[in-house]
Amino acid sequence: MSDQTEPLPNSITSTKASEQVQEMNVSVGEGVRRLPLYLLLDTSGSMIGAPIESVRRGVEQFIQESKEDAFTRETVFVGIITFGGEAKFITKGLVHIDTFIPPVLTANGETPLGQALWLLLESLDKDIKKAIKGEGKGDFKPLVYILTDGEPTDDWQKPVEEIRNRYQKRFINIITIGCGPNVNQQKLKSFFNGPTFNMGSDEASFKKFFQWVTQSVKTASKTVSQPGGGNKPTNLPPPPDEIQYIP
Amino acid sequence: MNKPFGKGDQIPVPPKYENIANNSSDAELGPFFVIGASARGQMHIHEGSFRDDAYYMQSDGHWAAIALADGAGSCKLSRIGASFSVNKLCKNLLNSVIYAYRINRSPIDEKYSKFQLIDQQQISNQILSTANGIKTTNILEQIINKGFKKTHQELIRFAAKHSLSMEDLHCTLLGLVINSESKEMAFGQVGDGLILGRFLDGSAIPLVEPITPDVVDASYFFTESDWLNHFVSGNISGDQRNTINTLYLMSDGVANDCLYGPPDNILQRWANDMNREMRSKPLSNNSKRLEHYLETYRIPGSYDDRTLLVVLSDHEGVVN
Repeated sequence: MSDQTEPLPNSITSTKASEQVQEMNVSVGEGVRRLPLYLLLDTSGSMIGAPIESVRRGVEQFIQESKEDAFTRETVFVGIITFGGEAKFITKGLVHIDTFIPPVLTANGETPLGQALWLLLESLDKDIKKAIKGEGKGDFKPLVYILTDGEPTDDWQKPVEEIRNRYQKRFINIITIGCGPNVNQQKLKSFFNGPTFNMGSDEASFKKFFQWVTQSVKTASKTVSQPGGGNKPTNLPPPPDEIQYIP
Repeated sequence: MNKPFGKGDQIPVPPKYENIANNSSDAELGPFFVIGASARGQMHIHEGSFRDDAYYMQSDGHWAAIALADGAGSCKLSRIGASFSVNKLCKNLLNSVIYAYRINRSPIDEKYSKFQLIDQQQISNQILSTANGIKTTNILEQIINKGFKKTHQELIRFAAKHSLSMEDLHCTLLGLVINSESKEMAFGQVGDGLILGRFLDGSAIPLVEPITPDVVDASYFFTESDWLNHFVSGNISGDQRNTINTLYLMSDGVANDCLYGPPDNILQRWANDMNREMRSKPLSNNSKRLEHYLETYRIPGSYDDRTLLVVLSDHEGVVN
């Protein structure tokens, strides 16, 4: 085969820093490594009123701030699953944060966390890309946030166990947050044995929570690409005072 | 007569750990031209933090050793582990080959090896007795194994001397030793990254397959106590010596951008494009070109430090 390979039409070329540095034209893989981010949001009846409105505004705020960060905007793909009455994958898979339109959220019904986790598992199996040499780059380790104000009301044990297994095998990062006075903190902690937090259900707490999610995602979008970044849980920035870690 | 050389990232002198954002070097050794470049990744630039990759190239005028290490971003002093490892590995490899081989210039056979083992069996026995886990009879590959082992031991002593933990110094390590006349070579690797051969027919093939964990984006490290379980090595000898015309050693920051498509044949395209660019004249300009390229090419999600070592064979010849 000739050495005079034509570079790909859209191959990346370096920009000139000075007249002395001649550009190089080298083909590189076109695939993008995505950072999948899942938000599982409790929209059960107890979230009616100010809490669900705060969640809606928080999601909008998170999307807006993420778009303003170059690293986050390039890599983050979002999947939102709500669980109130029934569980719904409202983004129907992972969507690029640039094209994501914040949803209208309504609160009603019970708390089908188990259903939501099944939807999450299905997406992890179907939507997360593994690296295949010669084909595509794989996704970074998915980041999952679960926000709930109470206890699950459906069959949750089996999907919780499955998610816990994946967390323990370091296939995903998962952060669980309970909001409000009705959260059984120790039970919530026992679900996945991962980082678990508690916060209030007022507007200020939700605002702080989504700001923290934004900062965490910005940090994750950088650190997961480091060698050894998959060996340890993703280092989160410290949460604000309104969010307490549950030991 | 080829001049000896030693170029690349130096061992940082404690307690002053200097950060050098980028680095590049080149050197000539007989039919080989070696180019090395290392650039800080976009993430480190954004944070104002250090480059964690390191490389080194060393020669006694007959043999060349080159090494590359990729420090773990989550470990605070990994760039020190990386710089130390590449320097020591090159030194240990050269010392071993110089000890094992002696010059024996034959007026009859000038084309190929002018080196002859004084006592192959004796040397082999000595090496086998000091290195663990050897599964090869190739002397050069045994030297690679021994070189990695000695470097690991030296790193442990270095860490202890400066009250550092090995975990703080976590890094991968890739190394190669090559003879400038016979073109025999051997290589070894712990952790991610890529040792790639570009052949005369334009094909590009990884020369070893690194052992990686099942976890996404995880790597094994040279600095771990069980590193030998994740060490792979290989050699090129016999007729194969003259079929490789370019060698690449690269950190994960570069490997991820040429191993994975689309398109499907991206590795071969990359290897041939890079071969063409690095052979463009004058060769002495190309280390700076490579450094600039590594610093500036942009791919979404590709934010890691980037280090690439290129060994061009028969560099005076026409590009094939």
